[in-house]
Amino acid sequence: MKTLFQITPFLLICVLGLQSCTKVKEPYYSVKSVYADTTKRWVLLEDYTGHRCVNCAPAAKNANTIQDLYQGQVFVIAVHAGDFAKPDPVHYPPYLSDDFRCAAGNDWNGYSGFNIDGYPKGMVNRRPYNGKISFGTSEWNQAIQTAAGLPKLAVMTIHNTFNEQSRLLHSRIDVHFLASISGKITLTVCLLEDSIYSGQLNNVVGDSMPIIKNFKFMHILRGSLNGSFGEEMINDPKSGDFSTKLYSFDFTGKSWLTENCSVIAFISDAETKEVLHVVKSGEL
Amino acid sequence: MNIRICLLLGAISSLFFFPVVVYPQDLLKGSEVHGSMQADASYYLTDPKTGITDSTLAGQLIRMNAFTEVNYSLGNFTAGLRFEAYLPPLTGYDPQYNGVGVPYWYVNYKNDYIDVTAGNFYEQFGYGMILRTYQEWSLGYDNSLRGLRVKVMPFKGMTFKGVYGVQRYYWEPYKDFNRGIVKGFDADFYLNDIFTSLKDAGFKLSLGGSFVSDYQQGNTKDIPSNGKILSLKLPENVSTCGGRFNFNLGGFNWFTEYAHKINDPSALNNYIYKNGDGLFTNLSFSKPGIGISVMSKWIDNMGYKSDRTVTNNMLNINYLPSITKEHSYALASMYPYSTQPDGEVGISGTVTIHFPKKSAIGGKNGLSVAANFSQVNGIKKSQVNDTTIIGQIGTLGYTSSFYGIGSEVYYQDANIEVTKKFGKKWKGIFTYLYQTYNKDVVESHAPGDYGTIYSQIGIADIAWNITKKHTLRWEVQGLWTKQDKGNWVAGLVELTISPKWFVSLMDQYNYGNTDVSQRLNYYTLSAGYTHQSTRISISYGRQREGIICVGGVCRYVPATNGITMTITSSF
Repeated sequence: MKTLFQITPFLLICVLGLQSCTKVKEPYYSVKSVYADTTKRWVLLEDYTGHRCVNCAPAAKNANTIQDLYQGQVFVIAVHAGDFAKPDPVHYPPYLSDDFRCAAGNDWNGYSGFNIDGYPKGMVNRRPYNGKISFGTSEWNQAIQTAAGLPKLAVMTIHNTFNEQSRLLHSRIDVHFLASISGKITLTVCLLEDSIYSGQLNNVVGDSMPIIKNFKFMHILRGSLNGSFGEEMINDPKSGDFSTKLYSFDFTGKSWLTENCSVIAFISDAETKEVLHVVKSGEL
Repeated sequence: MNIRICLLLGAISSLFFFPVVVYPQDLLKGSEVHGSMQADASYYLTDPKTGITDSTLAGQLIRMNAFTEVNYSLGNFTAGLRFEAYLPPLTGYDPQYNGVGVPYWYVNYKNDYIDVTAGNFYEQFGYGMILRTYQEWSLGYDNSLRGLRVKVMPFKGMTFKGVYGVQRYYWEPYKDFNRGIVKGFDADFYLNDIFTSLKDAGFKLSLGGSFVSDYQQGNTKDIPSNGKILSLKLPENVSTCGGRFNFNLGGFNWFTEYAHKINDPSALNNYIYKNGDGLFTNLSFSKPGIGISVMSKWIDNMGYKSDRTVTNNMLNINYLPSITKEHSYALASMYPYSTQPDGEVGISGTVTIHFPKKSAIGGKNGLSVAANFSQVNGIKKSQVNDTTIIGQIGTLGYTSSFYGIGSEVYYQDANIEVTKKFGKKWKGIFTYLYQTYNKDVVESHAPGDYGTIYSQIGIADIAWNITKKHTLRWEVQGLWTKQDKGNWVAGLVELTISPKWFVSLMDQYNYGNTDVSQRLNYYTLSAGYTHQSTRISISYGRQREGIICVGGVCRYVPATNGITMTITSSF
């Protein structure tokens, strides 16, 4: 008995010690994000969508996930255009009464633009993937991985000045070319708005059906500051060339929340429309 | 609560559990104070030939490492502390040691039943494969535990130990879980003492078992890998367990220890989740005139630290045994082996024979021969599956079979040493070594950076006892290799005037360097004086770049030029 008493505390310690193990089971990790490679091209993902598109909610979430994954190397524009984006005051009022369409989005979506057919569809730097300029969500990841592996052609910066009294935004876009490019280069500057809660039709299991009444819309294209297809910036730029453009936008009369707005700018090959680099500002 | 306060309360409370009445007049009566000190100070000079410039020295021309340790004992109580100063640390020591303080202090109470230590302590379970804390001054190595240690000896032949604490990390105090908390338990059973029936058995057998767990806060960690940021799931409690035995029969002794560790993703193993395993065994035989020892070890992913992000020598919880011979001669120790915790398998054998005087081989004065061979290879690793490369982060890493030997040789050393007396006044030690040194692996370079170095080394060490007090010793050494820095030759002359004085001159000449500008002499003039237990030595010269290893743990030593003074004393 005395023996037992003398060694019991240590046996207890031993038993307790055996509990001090943490066995980790597979999967041992999750991919949190992909870090921006500063030597590689930045990528524009255009998500063509509409609140009446019943498959567009998961596509929008997928676009958000990709942007988060490629921190700072991929930027999304949610282009609300076409029939699926038209306001619908009849069904589920008032949830589908918002109109997020704009002239630039309509032009991109239409025949004069990229003739997007069937939603949801996306474009990745407006360059063909598997022979198609726009394609479904299942191909976005791979197309982005390809585009994000291309060498960087330019460094772009956006300098915004916003006067809350006058509600006037001045935006200066600087482009420093890192490589020589033949042909005309256009610059397109757009305005985006985040975090708008509104209705979104849905028939995809995993979210409320047939409508998500408080869907959070992100990266909504509000318009272009320099025309739907931008304007010519430089011709046959050489490595080391520098170009800058200044634009203004008056928020007067707009109900948009400026604190949720940001500027996105991209340079493109004027002939092929391929986006060669993109940059996005912080919120105003 | 501050850990120091906890320990102080623990120490005070221990007085209640083990009451001893101490009167003021008794505090000094019967008490003893012992201690030791060492100071190593260097004055550095620029030396453009070895790349030492003013900017290298950064104005810190004088540097010093020093410590003083004092132990006070009274009856069953002992208390002690060690003061250390690195102002700033000597070159080659981690600059994070820069500072002064008392990193080591303890109070201890001990009787026949229990042994309690509060504060810092050094402890070893078995051979140390799951826990060993120790200090090695020459390496700047100190992984002491600060906390509480309790040993209990309930019966003759049984010892139980429990440890609980945090490890030293330079001068950084423990707070907010900035490193792991180590807990351990160990039991030793000496069967011949426990069972009276075995008391007079012709053999001796002891068994032991240990368990150690390290708690490190944080169950996730973001690691960039291959263009992605992986959020790794981490085990907050990493435990190891082990068992051992020692069997002794006549001149034979056989010791074996096995250790197992659960998943421990860390910077050391590139965050893989494979379990770790280790085995060490040593079989030896000795009788007058002959000694044979065979050792082997198998190490598979056994690095174990109390901070998974640390990759240098700090915060090691365990010790992985070294089986290769440590050489003391300058050129023989140029390429020492450093234990590879990620995986290695090795074998070593030593035979020592003494041929007595007036025997056929021993001749008139006798002859001793010691032959040693050791080889360490990597372990054989296989892919977990077709899509996972070996050692890939965030996976099991690889699979391995027990004692599966990899094809890559990390280290090999075959050496023979002959010691011969020539009359009463002359003695010679003659050594030949053939070494294979995988510099990329041992020094953690990228594969192919340096490759493998094959060297042959010959050494003659002659001592002449001129008089009873005067001894003159010569060393002549040569190292021949086609790789690395090429051939070397070294010589030493040392005069000892017993018991107080010595003076020596040594030079190592890298005459075979393919870079002619680097065919340098590394000369050192040294002198020393000993008075009772105090020794003072001073040296001037140029030190070559390299690594020094003690027990398989190594430290990089940069090239230096200057004057070094060392004082050691004990009381």
